[in-house]
Amino acid sequence: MPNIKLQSSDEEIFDTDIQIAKCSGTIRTMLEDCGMEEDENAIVPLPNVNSTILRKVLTWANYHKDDPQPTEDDESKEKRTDDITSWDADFLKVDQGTLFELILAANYLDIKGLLELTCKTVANMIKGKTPEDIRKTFNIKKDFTPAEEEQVRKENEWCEEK
Amino acid sequence: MSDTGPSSALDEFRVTWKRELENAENYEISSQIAAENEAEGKAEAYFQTAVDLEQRGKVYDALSFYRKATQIIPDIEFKCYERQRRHIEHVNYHGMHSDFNRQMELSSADAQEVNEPNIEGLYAKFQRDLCNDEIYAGKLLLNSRDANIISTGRNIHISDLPPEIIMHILRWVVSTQLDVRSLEQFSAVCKGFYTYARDEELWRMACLRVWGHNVGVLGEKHETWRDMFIKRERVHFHGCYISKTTYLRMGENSFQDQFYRPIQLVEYYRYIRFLPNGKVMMMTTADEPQQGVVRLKDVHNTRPDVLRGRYRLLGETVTLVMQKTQAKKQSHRHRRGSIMPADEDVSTQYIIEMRILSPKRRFVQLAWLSYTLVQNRNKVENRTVFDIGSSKYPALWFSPVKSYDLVADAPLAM
Repeated sequence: MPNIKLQSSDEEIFDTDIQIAKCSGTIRTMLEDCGMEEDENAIVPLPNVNSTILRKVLTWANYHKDDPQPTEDDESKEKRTDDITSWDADFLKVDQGTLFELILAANYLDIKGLLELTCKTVANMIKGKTPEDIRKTFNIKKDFTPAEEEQVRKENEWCEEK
Repeated sequence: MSDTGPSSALDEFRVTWKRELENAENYEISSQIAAENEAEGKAEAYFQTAVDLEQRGKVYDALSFYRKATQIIPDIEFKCYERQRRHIEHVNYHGMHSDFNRQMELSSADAQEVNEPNIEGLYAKFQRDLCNDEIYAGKLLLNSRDANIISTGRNIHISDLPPEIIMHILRWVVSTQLDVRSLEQFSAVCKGFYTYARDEELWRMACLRVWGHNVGVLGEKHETWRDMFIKRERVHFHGCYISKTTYLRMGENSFQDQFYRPIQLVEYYRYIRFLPNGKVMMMTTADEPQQGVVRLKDVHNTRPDVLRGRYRLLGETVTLVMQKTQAKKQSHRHRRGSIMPADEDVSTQYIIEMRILSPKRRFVQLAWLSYTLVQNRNKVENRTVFDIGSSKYPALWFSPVKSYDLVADAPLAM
């Protein structure tokens, strides 16, 4: 398999298997549209991703390179019970800043699988939590006035368990 | 006469000629304006189609429409945006008007509340608040971390994520299981999250998932999709509906002792769990709720004692059509010389109609309207209608089950 060189924002070069690099829609389009595939020495610049994150992204892509492509078939969607696998869970044992950087990188590089995985991880940090829990988890400042907070509480009262 | 004749005729001709010219010019201008209007309308229609497509995730289809729109009017996006903004401002203006009325009422009722009585239109107010760049610096949330604490790395905060990512995360929060309670909790975090969580597209998708094709449109009854989701009759998904049936049954007489007649107390529970994709599971068992609800936890299970099927909401009734979960058919056993009767032709359908009632809390009770069993044996249909008036069919009450919606299986989508 031919390799390709990816350059992170801090100008580190990653010599990567082209098949792995191509799990990124952004890189795939770049290669195909610019005809870089033939050129062995071409360097793909990725100015939005630093080397720490790019290394992680490539690790993920390497592990998942043989995953079957998700189908659009409705029936299979219904049966999907895509719990996060233990490898992915270990992979995501990172601090919150890194998790968000991974989301941004997956979004920029257009890697659907990684984007879904990371978004789902953040969603699980939100599900079933109280507003105060969420504020603590993500370091968010409460900017409601007492009257506003009360009003929001009233609007949301309908789904409170009694 | 002969002198004035031709000249006046000439003058007249000049006048009509000039008028005609002017008219023609006017006509040209007006037709130009009409053409421009038409082009703009066309471009806007293309643009709107593109926006709709993009929202449904069909980006590539959307692109061609965007291209068509911009070919006609290059800055169509700004024009549309401008028009929408004017429209929203118009609406806001009305909203503020009623806010103002509210303020007047409140201030007379409670003088202390004068400064923050903005009871109606929180969404509009928060949006205005969030525009304050001095406080929010173009973001929608505030970081509570102390900026003076030195930390390594870039330390990206959740407010650094672009809005479309937050919306995507919210789709995972709600998920196909419609965990709107978590969404409502999310809205109570801060003003920015409130505006995210009140996104109508999210609520519209949730409504679509509940009512499917019958979802209808917004109107006088429901002004927003969130309002429809909250108020329109539906069933709950974050738990199951349970009833307890108790009755006495006469036992067999004893041979030895004619006077001894045992009486048995029969007690069983009925469980119905609705899923947001139109599927439903029902089970009757002697198990107490603590064990009973666990048996319906696995959505994909095929236990023989669980009836499975589909339901449909229509007004305040819900109709369930269910079948026995059947294990995979065994291979045909042919006895030599004889053909086994075709067992496969037997099918049983359970058809139940229930009324959704809201005593104390919304949609927490299901009362029986009818219960029919349809048996098809060798193409002969046999209907049995149960007497639901008896004490065997008490209403079912909803009880939430925590373990049902903890793990999101897929993001909310169309």
